[in-house]
Amino acid sequence: MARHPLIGYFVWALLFGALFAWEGLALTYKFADVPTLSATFRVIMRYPFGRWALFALWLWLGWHFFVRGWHFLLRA
Amino acid sequence: MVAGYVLVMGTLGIGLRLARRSARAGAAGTAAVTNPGQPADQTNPAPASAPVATQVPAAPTAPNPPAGVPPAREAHRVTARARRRSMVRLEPGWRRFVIHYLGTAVGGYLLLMVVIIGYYFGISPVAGNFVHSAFTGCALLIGLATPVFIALSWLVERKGWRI
Repeated sequence: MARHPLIGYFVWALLFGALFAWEGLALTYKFADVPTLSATFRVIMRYPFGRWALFALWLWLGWHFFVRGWHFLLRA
Repeated sequence: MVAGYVLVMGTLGIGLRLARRSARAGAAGTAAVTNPGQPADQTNPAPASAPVATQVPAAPTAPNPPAGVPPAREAHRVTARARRRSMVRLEPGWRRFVIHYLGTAVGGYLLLMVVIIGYYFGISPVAGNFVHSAFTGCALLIGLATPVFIALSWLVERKGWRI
């Protein structure tokens, strides 16, 4: 497995942490007019291009995590 | 990772922009009910007994027609648009579901392929069979997910399953 500098992992952790913190804020302080992630996705899915983008994202995640680099178990 | 990052951030950015725009449109709609020059939070209730002589029948115009467009033309345009939309929109049912799903799946697949090809040829040619794997792997995922999705939809809609 390739070794990367620690800062790279830290940036990813920070990005995901910010995402979850924002969602937590939106859920906690509903009166603050902060849209939750589900509200944002609902707005995105109203439009065909938004649905395509979300589907592409879902497809990319599935391909990246489950298909890419995968080998059939019995293949020589 | 870069392709995923672009997709995530792009999608969220578009969503936030649309959410803010629809919130602004809602606020504008509320403000349109009030009289000009009156604060937005003070709307006039309809008078209970307005004099008959002052009543003017309202023309069926679109909400907020653009400036410079005659009302009759705008109304004609709105009705034509509504007629077209009713022709395009199918009745709820399996046919509409399949068309909606196919449109989303094919559109999403093609969009991802465009992003991947653009990334491969424009930014970084990843080693190995990257593009080939993307085409076949994503098609495989759609092929695997489609029957499961249709079966779950059938169970939820027809058998009353709760997921």
